[in-house]
Amino acid sequence: MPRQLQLTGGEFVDHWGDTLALCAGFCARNQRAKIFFTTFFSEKTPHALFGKLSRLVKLTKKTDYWLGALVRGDKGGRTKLKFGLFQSGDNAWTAFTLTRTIANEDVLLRLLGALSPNISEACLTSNEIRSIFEDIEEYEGVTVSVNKAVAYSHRHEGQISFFKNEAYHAVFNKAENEGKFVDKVDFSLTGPHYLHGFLARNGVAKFMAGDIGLFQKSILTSVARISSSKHGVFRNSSRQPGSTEVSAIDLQFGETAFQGRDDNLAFISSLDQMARSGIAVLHENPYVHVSLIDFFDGSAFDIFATSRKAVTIVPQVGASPFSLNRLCNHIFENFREGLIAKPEDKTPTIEEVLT
Amino acid sequence: MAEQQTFSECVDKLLDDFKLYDKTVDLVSCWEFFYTKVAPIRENILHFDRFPRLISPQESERDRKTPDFAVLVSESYGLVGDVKSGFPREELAFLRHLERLKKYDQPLSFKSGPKSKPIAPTTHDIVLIIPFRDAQEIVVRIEDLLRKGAVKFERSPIVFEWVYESDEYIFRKVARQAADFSDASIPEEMRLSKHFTSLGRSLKVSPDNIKRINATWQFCNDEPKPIYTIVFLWTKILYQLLNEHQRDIWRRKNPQKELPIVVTVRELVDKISELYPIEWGHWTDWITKALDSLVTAGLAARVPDGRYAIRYRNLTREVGEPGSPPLAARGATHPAEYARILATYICKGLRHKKGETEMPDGTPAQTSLVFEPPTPPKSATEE
Repeated sequence: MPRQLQLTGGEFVDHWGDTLALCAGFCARNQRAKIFFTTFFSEKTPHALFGKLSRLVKLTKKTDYWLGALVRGDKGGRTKLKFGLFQSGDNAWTAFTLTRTIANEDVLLRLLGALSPNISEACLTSNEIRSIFEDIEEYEGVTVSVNKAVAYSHRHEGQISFFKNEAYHAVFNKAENEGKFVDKVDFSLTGPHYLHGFLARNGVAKFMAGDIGLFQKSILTSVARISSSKHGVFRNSSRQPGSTEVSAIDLQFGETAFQGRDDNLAFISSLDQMARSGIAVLHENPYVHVSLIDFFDGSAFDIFATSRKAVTIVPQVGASPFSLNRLCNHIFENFREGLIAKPEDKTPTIEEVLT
Repeated sequence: MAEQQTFSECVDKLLDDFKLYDKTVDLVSCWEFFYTKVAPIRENILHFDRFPRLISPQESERDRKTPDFAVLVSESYGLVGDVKSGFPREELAFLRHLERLKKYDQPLSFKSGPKSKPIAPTTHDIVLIIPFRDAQEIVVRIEDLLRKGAVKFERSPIVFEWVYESDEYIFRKVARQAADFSDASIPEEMRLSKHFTSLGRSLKVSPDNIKRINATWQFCNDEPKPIYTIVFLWTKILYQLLNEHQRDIWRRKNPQKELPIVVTVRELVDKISELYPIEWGHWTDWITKALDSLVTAGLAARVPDGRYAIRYRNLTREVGEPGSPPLAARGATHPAEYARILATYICKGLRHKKGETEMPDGTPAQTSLVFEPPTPPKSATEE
């Protein structure tokens, strides 16, 4: 395991903003160094969240963030990885570490993965990543270009597109036209500000060089804001025990996604592929009703495709935001992407149903 | 090869049972939607009962009637609804089928609210909901029998036909039938006689309208086949019976690892009633039959003290006949879904049992309640 980079002159200082500035300075002097960020959602405080892992992770409170140290072995051996953790939004937390290797990134991701289902990772669609770049261009007067990008097919596993040195909108347009979703983008901003960074749909972001303030404002804040609005929809969506009231969630595709049995089967097949889950098909045609259980934490959902442009998810008792997030992201990656929204409550009238 | 066909026929039969029950659930949900979600109907009824058990004021609890739904519209008027997939073609069987409806043709006490006392309205109507393809002929035959005096009703059943068309369930009162609603005591805008008889309207309900109802109520008052109950248990209930240690095993490792759940019927019913708004039911019977089917399927065993040990795990990578290679069995046309997977387990279990109990003429004996004898050839449709 490569050793983590150490900042000279007091790494992980009192404020996370100052720490990031120090890290960015280090990146400027060391070409392969980068700051790795991952954003997640949790209703628990870091101390409560890491409580179960207290033998592995030592948390220290700084002025406006937490410093975490992952130690090697059970008996408090050498520090394996240090990371910062700050609150980036409502129930949103961003962990970061300075590193030169992907191995350290994986260590941090695996550590956070062990906290599931108590945390949900951030989740962005291709359109949301594109909108982040559009906003940067509009508000900062910069030009965004894609150094490298990877897109995957929604329906054909293994179909991958790689893009190099293209305008970002060309990359997103091509991916969309080919029925693919953009998974990760290595990008640069040029113009009044310079920035070299990376953004992936799971909310992972990397700062390589340039203006760390702009990165924080335009990338990290946007990731937290966009994901936070979804997490807000996911929270309190599960049905209460014994209650007949349900809180449905719509995935709106904005265009016709269901035209016939083939689309129904493609949708069911995409649900069937979700890891660690099982489905029961109550209706396959002319509309879809699937019952899905996530064996990761026992969350159960009823999933309906009853209109041409949307699917509806009804979380059952105890369904977790983690699992809902996992399910929505799975549908976005394996069927098609869309918007997450609470459906409007509309009372039909007798004139509408009796004709 | 012949045995293979028997096996696949068995699976198809169970899946047909599964779908037939779910269709009835849908039809009941359409009427629940009409009476509980549509303005101004929803504000003007006393109670819609999805799981009615009606008794005549003179009868005991044992004589309860269990139609598919009942609506107490006012203290003077109620409606009993029964969904039928068809009537027998043979004359005598048809008559007997019709006579069974006479149990609703007497004063009945309806539920008037979640915790209110039952009310026996001054009058009520009986509505039969039948597929479009048979409805007209059934009405003609019913009216013929009524004319001949072969059967007498004070409240003649009013037949509705239903069809799924243009993304909607459509319900119409079958035209030219003598039977009509006796709903003059309720406000005009609430009268089905006005909407369906005088104006000839149809009730149109899209699946979108009933999805929330179906997400809450996966059942109706009819007894489900065990396959239906098992799928519900496997995908919605059994996980909740795992302890924290067991759940952690699946979180860290593969959820295909088998975890035993030892449970009584009572405990399982209690868990369902904790999670789902079941009002009453034949749940003890339904769960017992489902667990017995799981035993047949080899996915559970009876253990002392009336308990069952269920071999719970994620079965979705085991699609096809149990024991066959999953990938080879995974057909392109069938997703790996629980109704099919569990049906294959049950049929495999039945095949073992059949080997032990095959009838001398080679026809399969009824070895479990999930496997019914073949339908008599003269009966065009089944109830």
